[in-house]
Amino acid sequence: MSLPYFEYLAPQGLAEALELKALWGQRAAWLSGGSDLLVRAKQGLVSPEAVISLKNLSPKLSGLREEADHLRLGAQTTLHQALNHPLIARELPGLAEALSAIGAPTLQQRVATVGGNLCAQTRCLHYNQSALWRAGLAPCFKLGGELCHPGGATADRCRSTCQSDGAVMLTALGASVVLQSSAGQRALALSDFFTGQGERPQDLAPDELLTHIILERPEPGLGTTYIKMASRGAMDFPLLSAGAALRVEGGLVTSARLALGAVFAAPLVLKTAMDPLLGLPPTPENLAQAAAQAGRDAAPFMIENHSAPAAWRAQMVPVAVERALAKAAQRALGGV
Amino acid sequence: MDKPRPKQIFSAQVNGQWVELLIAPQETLLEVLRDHLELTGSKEGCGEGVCGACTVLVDNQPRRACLTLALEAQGLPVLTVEGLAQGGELSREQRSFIAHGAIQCGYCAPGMLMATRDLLSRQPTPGEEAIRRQISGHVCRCTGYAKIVEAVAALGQASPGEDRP
Ligand SMILES: Cc1cc2nc3c(=O)[nH]c(=O)nc-3n(C[C@H](O)[C@H](O)[C@H](O)COP(=O)(O)OP(=O)(O)OC[C@H]3O[C@@H](n4cnc5c(N)ncnc54)[C@H](O)[C@@H]3O)c2cc1C
Ligand code: FES
Ligand code: FES
Repeated sequence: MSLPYFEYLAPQGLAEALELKALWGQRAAWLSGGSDLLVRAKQGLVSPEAVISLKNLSPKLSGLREEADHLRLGAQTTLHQALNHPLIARELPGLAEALSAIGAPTLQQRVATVGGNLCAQTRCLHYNQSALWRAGLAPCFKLGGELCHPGGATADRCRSTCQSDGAVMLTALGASVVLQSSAGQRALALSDFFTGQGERPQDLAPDELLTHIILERPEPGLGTTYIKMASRGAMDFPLLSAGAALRVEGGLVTSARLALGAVFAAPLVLKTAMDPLLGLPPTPENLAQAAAQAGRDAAPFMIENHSAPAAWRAQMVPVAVERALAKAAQRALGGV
Repeated sequence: MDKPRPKQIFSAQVNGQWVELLIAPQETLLEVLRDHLELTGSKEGCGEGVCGACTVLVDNQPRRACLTLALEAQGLPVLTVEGLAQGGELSREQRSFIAHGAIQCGYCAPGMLMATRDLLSRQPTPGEEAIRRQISGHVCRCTGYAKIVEAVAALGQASPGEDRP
């Protein structure tokens, strides 16, 4: 399968890269590991006139730096580097689980990047298909059309979902991102970076580069986990996933954050379902109640936009959330 | 009038030999290997990253050649299945795959062999779980995987010098 023509640019440094992108704007696409971009280019879902390779920027934009009150992860850090970093492996097992759940070891683990995972496009059963397959259907919102196939006649927007495992877990961890352009830089919480609009899932201007991911330092009593439900144990995007970050101090929950993947265009943060846990001990009954509420909150989002029935995925929400909360609580209390 | 579509010079060390040729910038490493260099060992099963048949090592890292622009490998060592045999002798991975019946139609073998080389270079005696995880990104429609796992496991168990099955 061949790619359509585009120019290939490989700037030597950050300033040059940002200048090039300012010049080309929307007509050019950043290229990290390419495991999202090039598939979409082959399927005709994106047709950049140029790709700007970030390979020469990797030495400067990869690795984890521990700063006084936060952690700074370079966007070009590969999945393999990130999940094997001693601090992440030891103190943020949920993030290590999410990154190792992406695809397969020889596919993208050693070349794809955490930044690429956050900037990957939302997905849908009717969108991520070959041009030939799609030829039988009218173009949907995400392709500039006026309808959503799974959304049906009343849909007024794109109903594709975020299936990036890293994005879901990093949202649960309350991470933010640093976006840089030749005009300056800004920081955005991931909950703002992900717009919730399938047509344009990230708040990223055409001249901006995601350079870093900022994480809170893991505090004592924090337990994290990532539960992924997919057709196979490797290679498959999540049909449903849950990332949980629970903090337990003195036997009581002091912070509870949970995000779902493959449900909404952004990782779906379930705040109202988690807030009642605050101040309570993380007993199985309390966690089950929060999980049941998560199931009710997520139900309206479920439509036939992935390869497993919406009814099954809706049923699995409380199951995945309960498993995630139980594991996170166990880890918060010092277990593994 | 159509815009000009300039080609670019691609140079890399493929299986130990420096090559230099003129390619279109959007050409994948798989196209350059198969169509320009006539190294047709690496296969295109899906062209979308799903099957693993195109896996090669670029700078010692496994990569889907179908999802890698050739220019991303500029100046780097590239190892394909053709580079495994040395001096007319099959490599230990190839011999073990043959001895254990791990090759039927053979379409997945080039990718499986590169995945094996990568795994053993980092973990000389992998257990079954590590082997299964490493080949989890590779589809084989013939063998049922068991014989591939056995072939890789045998390489881990044999001590150096007696690795010839
Ligand atoms: C068979 C297969 C299975 C997969 N399975 C999974 C899975 O289970 N889970 C999962 O999450 N993903 C999966 N993926 C998708 C993909 O491999 C991952 O999302 C990967 O992390 C993308 O990273 P990359 O570096 O390859 O991104 P790229 O493809 O290089 O980039 C992705 C997008 O982000 C943009 N971009 C890249 N870097 C930056 C930056 N620094 N700043 C701004 N924009 C940027 C690019 O222009 C592009 O639009 C799968 C892909 C394939 C082919
Ligand atoms: S041809 Fe590259 S993964 Fe299938
Ligand atoms: S031997 Fe036929 S695909 Fe593996």
